[in-house]
Amino acid sequence: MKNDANRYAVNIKRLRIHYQTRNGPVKAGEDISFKVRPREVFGLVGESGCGKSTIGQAILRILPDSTRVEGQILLDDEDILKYKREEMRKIRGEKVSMIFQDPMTSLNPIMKVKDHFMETINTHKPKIKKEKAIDMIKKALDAVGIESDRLNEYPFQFSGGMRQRTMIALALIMDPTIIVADEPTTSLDVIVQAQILEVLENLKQSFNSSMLLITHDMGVVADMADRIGVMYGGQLVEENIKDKIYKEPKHPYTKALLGSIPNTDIKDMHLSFIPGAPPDLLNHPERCRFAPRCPKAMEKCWEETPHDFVMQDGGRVRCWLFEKESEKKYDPDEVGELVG
Amino acid sequence: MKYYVLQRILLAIPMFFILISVIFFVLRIMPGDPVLAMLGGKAPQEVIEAKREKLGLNKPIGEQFVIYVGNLLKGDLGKSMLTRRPVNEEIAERFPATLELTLWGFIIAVVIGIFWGSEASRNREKTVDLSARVYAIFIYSVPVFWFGMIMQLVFGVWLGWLPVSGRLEFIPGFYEKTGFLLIDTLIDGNMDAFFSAIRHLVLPAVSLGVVISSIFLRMVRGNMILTLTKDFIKAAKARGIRRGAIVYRHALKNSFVPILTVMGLQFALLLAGAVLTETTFSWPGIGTFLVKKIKDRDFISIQGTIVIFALLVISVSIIIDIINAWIDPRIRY
Amino acid sequence: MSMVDEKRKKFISYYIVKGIKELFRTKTGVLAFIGMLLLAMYIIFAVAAPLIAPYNPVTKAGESFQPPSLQHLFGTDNLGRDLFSRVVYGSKIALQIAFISVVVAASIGIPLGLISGYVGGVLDRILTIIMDALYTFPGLILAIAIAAVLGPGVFNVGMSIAVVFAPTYFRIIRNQVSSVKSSLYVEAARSIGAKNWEIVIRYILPNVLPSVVVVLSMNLADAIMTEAGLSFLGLGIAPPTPDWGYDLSNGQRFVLQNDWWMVLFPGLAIITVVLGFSFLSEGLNELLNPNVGDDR
Repeated sequence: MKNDANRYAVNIKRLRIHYQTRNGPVKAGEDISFKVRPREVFGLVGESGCGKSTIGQAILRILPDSTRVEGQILLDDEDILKYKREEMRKIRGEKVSMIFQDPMTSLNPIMKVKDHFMETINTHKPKIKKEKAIDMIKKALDAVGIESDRLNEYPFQFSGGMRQRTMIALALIMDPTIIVADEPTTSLDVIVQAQILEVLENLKQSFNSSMLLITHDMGVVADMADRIGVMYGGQLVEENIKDKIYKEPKHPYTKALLGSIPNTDIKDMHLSFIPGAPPDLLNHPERCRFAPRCPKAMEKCWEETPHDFVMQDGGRVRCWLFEKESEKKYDPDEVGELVG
Repeated sequence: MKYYVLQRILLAIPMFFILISVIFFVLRIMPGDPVLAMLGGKAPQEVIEAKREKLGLNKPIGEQFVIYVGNLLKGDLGKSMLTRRPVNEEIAERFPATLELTLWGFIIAVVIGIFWGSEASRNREKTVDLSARVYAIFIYSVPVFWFGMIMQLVFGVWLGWLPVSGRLEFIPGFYEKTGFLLIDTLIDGNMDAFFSAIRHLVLPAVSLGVVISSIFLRMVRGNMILTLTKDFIKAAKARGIRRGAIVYRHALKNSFVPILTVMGLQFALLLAGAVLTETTFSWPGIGTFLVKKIKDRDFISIQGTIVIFALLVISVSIIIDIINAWIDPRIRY
Repeated sequence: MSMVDEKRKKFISYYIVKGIKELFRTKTGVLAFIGMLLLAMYIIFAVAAPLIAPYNPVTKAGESFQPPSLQHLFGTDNLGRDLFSRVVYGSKIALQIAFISVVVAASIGIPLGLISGYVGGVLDRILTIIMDALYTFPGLILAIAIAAVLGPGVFNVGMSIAVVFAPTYFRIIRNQVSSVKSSLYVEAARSIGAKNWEIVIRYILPNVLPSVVVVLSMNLADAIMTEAGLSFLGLGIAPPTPDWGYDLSNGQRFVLQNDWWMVLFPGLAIITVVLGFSFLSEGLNELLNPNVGDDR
């Protein structure tokens, strides 16, 4: 019988991330658990400042040294939080890689595009023959739609869309287990955004890597994601397969988020927004973080942090409203079958 | 690339022209008649007039200026008003001394600056870094001539290890060829002279180098820190690139352009510092030459020397720009 | 807020204490504070020299070449003059020249920079290239040339140094003005009919001045160093006026006789004044351009 670990590309258990600041610890991530299966795209959505980017960086372990990270991040069965510096360095770029938000600044301006790739390949596979390396590069560039005769150019000679595609190629060239895409389209204009999404969509078909797609834009995950996790105030408040999230959102925040997407439906002329502001992650008392803005907040919400409840349809919700309905509380260690 | 080089040199010409014009006019408005100063107040009027005519000083200033520029383009800096020797010659005699001092001072400053600066930027808030910052602020406030004198006191007078003035002891049978003593003594095979030259070079070069290094260190450290926060560094780290490669191939190389630019600007400070250092150590270079000529009111020599300084500064800035363009392709496109 | 607090706010002392507490919060703030103390000390020296200095700095006060003692805290120089008194009186000269030169430099550089940056065109290009040429040229050497022309004296030396530093102010102001003049708030001002000089003085100037303030402080430090250098070379203040640079050149003449006190004390004076201005400018820099990401 296959054991739990092999079923998931990434298995995050009870992740807790605290930034040290002059005024005290900022709790950017509180008790976060979720799993990503092989070849799956997991969309992590939420407002700015909800902690989603932090999760992405935590997986790469490129958070500042002063940050405290607790919990477990199991990548292909191994807890990478326990890795030493050198061990972690070895898997960065090879087993886990990242696509950054701003393509204009993420490439070394005085290094040729080809050298970016050669450097990465040589770092992880120093003995590789040059021809083989060039093959790998060509394959990656093909997948993202860049002609290989542009290899000898410098990043500043590429357009924004091309640079982002280069970044994507760099992220997948070593065939990693998971690619963390941190707001990959946010800095791009709408048309280029669509192009990039198309590239990512194609990759889904032809490459083996899973993807953690981090974004604040519900429209971006609508096509690409298989499952979606909604974050608020440093916590994962809902998780389910994409269709269920869009059609039957449970958490009040998820509902509000979906309601605030402008659509072209004539009948719905009212652009709703969520009143109030995102919570201050610095001083947080123990209660539901969304309570101040929640239209359905009960007394219990103000007194105790809601548990993570598993629902009948397989999704999870962190909300007291669903306490009665739920089957049980989510246990990250439990071996189980994910729906969808 | 060649196009850029040409462009850069062409741009330098107006600047050079402005500098030599400024020098010309500034020196002409000198209060007091230089001819009078040369001949003494008691000389008869005809002698003064004759001298003035001989030097071309009675022509209208516009005409004098044209003659001046014309001569400059021919490479003629005129003749010293006192020694009647061509200024070119007098400067050429002393030039290698200044160059040798300046070069070694520069090397010391660069070595301190780059290594300490890089280490400090990589190890923020640790001893390396904190000591670098203290050093930079403190040394910046130290006048180079004072530092030189303290060195003279400590190493020359108290410890007696090193000489406090001059370039070389008198060594019979030794003659300069290139003027660069370190080279000449080696060519001559005269090891005594070689070591003597080094001993004489140590204090002045270290004084100059240490004082210049303070600004340099600060710039290197600052630039490296800035570069290390850039996104592409984070992206490289996320691809698992080794720390050493990140610092050198990514960070330092990217910092090089602003660092080199600073090095270029430092050259002016280096020259100024050289003048002061030479005076402190009685080093027979252009610096001491300039000061002496000013006291003598020999304004043709003064003019010539400053023109040479201008030429040096502009040449260095062109070279720096060219190297920058070679390193950073964005500049030349 | 209670009545007592309201009342407290009205006293200036409240703000002073608050300001000092704020200063001590960062390391840079502490530095700025030390800088201010140092400068205050020298300003007091300069202003109250006759009261502080035990002897007349210009006349013989004791035996020549005396090392530091109780009668002569810093010893005596080659003419028997009390070095401590000379250092104290020297503050006056140093600070006077520094302030004159910086004020004149700024008075030349800032208006020229404003005009050049705002008007643009040929005037701008000509001015810029002249100022750039002067800026890249070694300052001390330029000062030497001008000082040679003008001759000694507090005012003349101040002028020489001013010419060297004017381009610095010109560049900063001109670059800022030329990038700011196309910003939205300037266009807005123009669209409501503001005249050119109004725009420059009321809108642009207040926005570009903060960067000048930091430079001003560093400039004062540089001015002191340059002045010391000029006097050291014999081209600055004429003897017997007490001047640190001149005293150092004196010290240099007798180095082989181990006149360490003649070298040490004037030098320390220069160092501490320059440090004072440096610290102050670091503090101002922190205040006006708070460092992002410098303390993690």
